[in-house]
Amino acid sequence: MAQPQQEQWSGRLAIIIAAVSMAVGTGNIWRFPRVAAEWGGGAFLIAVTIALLIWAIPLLMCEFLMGSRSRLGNIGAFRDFMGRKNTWAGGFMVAVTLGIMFYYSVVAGWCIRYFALAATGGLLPDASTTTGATTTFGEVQWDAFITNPVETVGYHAAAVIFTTFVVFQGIKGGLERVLKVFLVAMLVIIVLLAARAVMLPGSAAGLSFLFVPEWSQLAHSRVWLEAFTQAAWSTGAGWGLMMVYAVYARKNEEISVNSGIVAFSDVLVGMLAAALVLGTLFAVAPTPQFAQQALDAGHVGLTFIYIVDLIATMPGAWIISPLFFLALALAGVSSFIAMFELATTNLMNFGFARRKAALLVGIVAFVLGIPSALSIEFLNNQDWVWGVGLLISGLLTALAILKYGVNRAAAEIDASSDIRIGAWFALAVRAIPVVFLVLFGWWIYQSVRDNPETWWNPLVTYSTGTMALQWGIVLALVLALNRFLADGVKDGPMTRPDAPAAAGRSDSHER
Amino acid sequence: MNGELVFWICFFVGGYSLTVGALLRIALKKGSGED
Repeated sequence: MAQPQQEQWSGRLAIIIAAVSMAVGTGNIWRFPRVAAEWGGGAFLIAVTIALLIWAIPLLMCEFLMGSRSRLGNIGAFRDFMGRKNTWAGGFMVAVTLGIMFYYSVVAGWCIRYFALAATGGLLPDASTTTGATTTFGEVQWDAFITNPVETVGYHAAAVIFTTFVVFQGIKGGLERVLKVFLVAMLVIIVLLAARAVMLPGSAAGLSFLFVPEWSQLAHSRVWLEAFTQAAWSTGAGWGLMMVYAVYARKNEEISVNSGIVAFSDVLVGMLAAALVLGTLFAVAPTPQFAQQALDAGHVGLTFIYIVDLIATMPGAWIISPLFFLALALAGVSSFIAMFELATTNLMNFGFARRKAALLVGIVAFVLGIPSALSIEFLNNQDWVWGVGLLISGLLTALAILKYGVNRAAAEIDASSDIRIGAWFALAVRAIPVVFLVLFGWWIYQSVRDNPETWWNPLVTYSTGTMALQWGIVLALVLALNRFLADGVKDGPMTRPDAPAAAGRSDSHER
Repeated sequence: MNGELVFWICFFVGGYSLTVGALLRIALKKGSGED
C-alpha cells in the first residue's frame, strides 16, 4: 500500500523557529530571572553555559537524530533505536511530557487571561480599588481569578481549543504559520521591554544581580545543580519535543548546529527576560528589600502579583502591562503547541489521521487539565512529579543512543554538519548517566530534607512518595503495554520487521 | 551604570548573540534544505 506523503517543514529556518519557540516558554520569563539572581548572576550564567554543553545540547542532538532518522514519534523512535524490548522507554517519555501538558494548558490560560485583562485596562488600579485596602491590587486580582472555576477552566479551554485548531491544520499550514508570528512577536516585545527596563533609573542594581559574577558562588555545588536543572528544563532537552519536530525535518539538516541554536537562543531569551524583570523590579520597587521579597515569592507571586502591582505604578503602564503578558502568553502557548504536537504525532503513528488525532488530544487535554485548573495544589504536584521526571526522560534518551552506538550516532551527526563535534558529543552522552545520578539524587535529597516526616507520603505535594507512586504507575503501564506499543506503531525507514530483536543488531554498529 | 556592569552585559548578551548569529549563518547557508 502506498504510504501517504510525509509532512515537512518548509525549510531550515522553519524548523529552527519551531524548535526555538518550543524551548522558550514561560520559565524563561518567570523562572530564569529568579534563579539567576539568586545563584550568583554572571557566575550562574557561566555554569549554565557549561551545563548546555554537557547536558542540553548533546541531548537535543540525540533527540534530533532519533526523530529525523526514524521518522517516527517518541514511541517509534525508541523502538527503532533501542530495540522492541525497550519501546516502553518511548512510552514513558510521552507520558512524562503529557503529564506536563495537562497542566501547562492551564498555565497558558492564566497568561491569556492576564493579557486580556491588561489589554482592556483591567490591570490599572484606580483609587477605589486601592484606598484602604490591606491586600495589594495584584493579590486581589489573582485571588479573584484563581478561585473562580469558570474563569480558570474557561481560559484553559481557550488554550486547548486554539492549539487544537493550530495542530489540526498540520505542520506547514498550522504550526509553522503560527509559530513564526508568535516567536517574532515575542522576541520584539521582550527586546523592547528589556531596553525600556535598562533605561529606567535604578535598574542597574537589578542588572548587577543578573550579570556581574559572584565568583565565589562557583565553588558551591548548589549553583551547579541549579544551572544543570535550568539547562535541562528550559531548553526542552529530554522532553521529546525536539524529537517530534525532527520527524518533519528535511533531509540533511544540521543536527549539531540546530541543537546549538535552540539551546543558546533559549538562554539568550532568558537573559533578556531577566534584564526586563530584574531591571524593572529594582527600578520600580520602593526598596531593594521589596524587590528581593518579590523574587522570593515564586513564579506565580512574582509574575501575577508583584509585577502586576509594580508595572501599574510605571509611566506607560497601559502599554507595558499588556505587552508583558502578551509575551508571556505567546511563550506559553507556543510551548504548549509543541507538547500537543508530540501527542498528536505519536497517535498518528498508530494509524490515526492528523485531524482525528488532534481532536482526540484536544478532548483528553481539556478533560485531564481540569483538576489543575480547579486546584493549584494539584497543579504544583504535577509540576513537581513530571518536572523531575523529565530528568529520567533525558537519561532514557542518552541510553537509547548508547544502545544504538554512540560512535555511530556521532559519525552520523558529523556527516550532517559542517562542524565536526562528534568526539565531544560521544563523551558528553557517556557522561549524561553520571550527571543524571547527581541531579536526580539531589532532587530526592531535597525532597526528603524538606519533608522529613512526610517524604514517603504520596499525598504530600512535594514528597518523594508522590513521585515514586506516579512514576511507578506509568512505568508499570508502559512495561505492560510494551508489545502493544512496539507492534502498534507503524514502520519507519529504520524499522526491520524481519528482525524483531532490533536490540541485537545495534551493538554491532559500535565502532 | 558602571563600567564593570556594562562589560559583563556586553560579554554575556554579546557573546550569546554572536554565537546564535554564527550558528544561524551556518544552518541557513545550505539554502532551504532538500526534500
